[in-house]
Amino acid sequence: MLSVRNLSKTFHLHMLGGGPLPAVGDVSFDVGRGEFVGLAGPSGAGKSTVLKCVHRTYLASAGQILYDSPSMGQVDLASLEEGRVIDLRRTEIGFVSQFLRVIPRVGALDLVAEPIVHRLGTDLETARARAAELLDRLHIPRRLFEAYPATFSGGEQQRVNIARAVGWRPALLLLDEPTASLDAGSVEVVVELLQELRNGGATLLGIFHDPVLLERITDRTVRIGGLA
Amino acid sequence: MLAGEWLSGGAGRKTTWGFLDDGAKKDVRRALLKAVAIPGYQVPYGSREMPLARGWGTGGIQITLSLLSPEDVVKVIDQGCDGSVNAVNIKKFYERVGGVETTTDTREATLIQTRHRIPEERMDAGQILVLQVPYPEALREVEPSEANTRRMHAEADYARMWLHLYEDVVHYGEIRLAYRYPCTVNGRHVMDPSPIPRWDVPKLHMADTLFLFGAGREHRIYAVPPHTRVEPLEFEDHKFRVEDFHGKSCSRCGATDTFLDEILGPDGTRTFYCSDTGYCDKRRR
Amino acid sequence: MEPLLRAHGITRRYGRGCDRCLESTGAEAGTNRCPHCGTVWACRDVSLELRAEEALGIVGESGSGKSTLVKLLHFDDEASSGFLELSRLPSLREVPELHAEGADWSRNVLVLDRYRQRRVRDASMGIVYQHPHLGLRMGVSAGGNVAERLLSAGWRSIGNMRARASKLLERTEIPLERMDEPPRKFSGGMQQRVQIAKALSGDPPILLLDEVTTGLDLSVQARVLDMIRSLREELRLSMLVVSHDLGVINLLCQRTMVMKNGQVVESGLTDQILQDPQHGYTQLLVASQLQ
Repeated sequence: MLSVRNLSKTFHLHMLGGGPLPAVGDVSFDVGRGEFVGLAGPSGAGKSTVLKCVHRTYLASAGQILYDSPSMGQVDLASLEEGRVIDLRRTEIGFVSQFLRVIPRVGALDLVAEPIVHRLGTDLETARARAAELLDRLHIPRRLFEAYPATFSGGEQQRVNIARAVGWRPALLLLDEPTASLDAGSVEVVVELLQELRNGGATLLGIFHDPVLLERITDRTVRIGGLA
Repeated sequence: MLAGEWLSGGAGRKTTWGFLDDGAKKDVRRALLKAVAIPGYQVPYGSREMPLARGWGTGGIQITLSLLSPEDVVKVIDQGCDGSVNAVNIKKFYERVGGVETTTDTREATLIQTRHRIPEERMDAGQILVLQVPYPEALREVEPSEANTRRMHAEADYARMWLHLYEDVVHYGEIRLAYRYPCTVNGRHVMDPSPIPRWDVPKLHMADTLFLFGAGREHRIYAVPPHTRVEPLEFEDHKFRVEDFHGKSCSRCGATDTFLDEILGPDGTRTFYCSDTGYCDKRRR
Repeated sequence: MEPLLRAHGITRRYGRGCDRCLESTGAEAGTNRCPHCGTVWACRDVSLELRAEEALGIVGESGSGKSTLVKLLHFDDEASSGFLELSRLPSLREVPELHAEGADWSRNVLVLDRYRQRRVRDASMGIVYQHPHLGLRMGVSAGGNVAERLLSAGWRSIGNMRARASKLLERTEIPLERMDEPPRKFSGGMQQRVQIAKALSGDPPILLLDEVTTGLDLSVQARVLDMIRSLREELRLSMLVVSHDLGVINLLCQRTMVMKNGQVVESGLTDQILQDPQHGYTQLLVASQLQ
């Protein structure tokens, strides 16, 4: 499904003289269809960088990120034309981090329902019902459904974020520490939701702070060694 | 007569005949030809000094003088009236410089010069009506810049004129323009028909007669050739209407189908008279 | 999503230009005015593509050429050179000789006569300017302002135009009882909303937004942005969003172009531009604004 080959990422910060700041070098690994692969490694090793390169939030400096798209066939995410990256993000590839990217003045329920409407073409009613179900399971109180998540606690925001990411059932979901500050009960729900997503055929690639959790929910881990 | 021959004054004619010199006539006639070729389009020309202040009909006079031949019978009217001081003076001027005959009868005239009216009697293909125009630019109300109005005409960009009418309807329930009612000529140019009342606008449409418009102060000539579409700007749900004289008639001749002038007596009584005095006189005979 | 509009090599210069203009102006030179001949290159060799239902952001400081670019695309200003082509939009079917037989793209609309440019514009684009007085006739009623584009497109029924204007003004939250009042009596936010209603009057597939929230109070800004967002969903609009505010761009646009001294220095997915800016200028822009 995903084949990362010799991926390198180096930043050039012009304000700091423009010298190269290498983040990851020569990373290669494969993720099979339906697999859940975890990225492991010490802090600062560049796990997030790899994930963001796959999502194209970062531009890879070298290497290939081959992705077998159900709709487009094999494409290289490192160099794919922007318009098609947008199409893939809309229909196949999801990304969830520990930070909720709130849309100002959109309530929690609509925030979760929006990608369901957009990406699956579901009508608003059905999408909102599915969103409510997800938020219920994640223990978001119903009185908060219409409130703006910008005002929520960190944990609540994360849960809304996860609901938003899994609601539309992406084919490939990238997870960047989505459970960073969740309580044990919530983590269980998240594990359950991710399992359901996999049962639906989704492929997952993720970073988890907690090594026990990482071990438990992924099929295997790939070690990102950082730069020598 | 060939156009070139006509432009240069006509075969064997004395060059200084009819007040205007040959150069001036040629200039005016060239503008007239262009105006006829592009109905409703304002043709700039070199307006000459006349023995009359600008704004007193010098545009009309220059057209008349450059068309005039000794065989012509000329009628001059001022707001429908053959007897106004201005009309009489202009008529005398033509008699003197052109030696032409004059008349008050619309049917007898070959060339009629008018200010702010079109005669009531239908004119025919052998006649020409010359209209004096104070403000040739129909779009001036909505756009002060000449450069812009010319561009707007060039691009048939008339939305703002329409908007002006839309606003009238929205705010007053009707289009308030009593005269200078803008018309689309030949489906292309929006034209100011000169300050004729709305009553006269339909007479321009598909007429047998040639209408020539002269604005001396503004240096513009334009034309509506015979059998040309002249359509007042109107909305599908707000049609152009002429003045309503229902139930009123001329106190002199009793006509009920003419444009009437309302005269307020010293005691407050209102009486109506035909604005077209020549026609009124004729009906009384 | 299929492309709607593509532009190539769009250039606007003021002055005659000289042999040394190319090396002496632009982002690297740090000026858009040639020191040798005085020519100002307001917009130099800009290319872009806008796809259906996509929002493309254009960021840059004042003088970067972003507003000039939008004005050129809207035919408010005349390009010195360049190509602008439109796909076979259904609304463009009425414009004669725009698309050659069988061609997917139109002729270069930048060189059409102005009459046809106006028709192309009326059929395909709406624009909202930073300053309401550029987009609105301040003395004409709000409803009349909306009607103007309809009149330009040949509408001749006052009833139909008022129905369309009411619908749009209602949608942009202008109280209908104020429809016949001129915008000069309105607040800045309301004026912006009348502009939006006017821009949408002809049901265009493309909306051009030129710094539409600049200078508005924060709460008013938020309301205008929310409205634009929901209208985009509802009407499936494609948008070109010019702003110096990365927050606005981030909220509305999937893709972003960064301009400096008349040139595009970088373009990419908006999150990439914000998180992994490549050009030094973009890095500076992101570092100084995104907090």
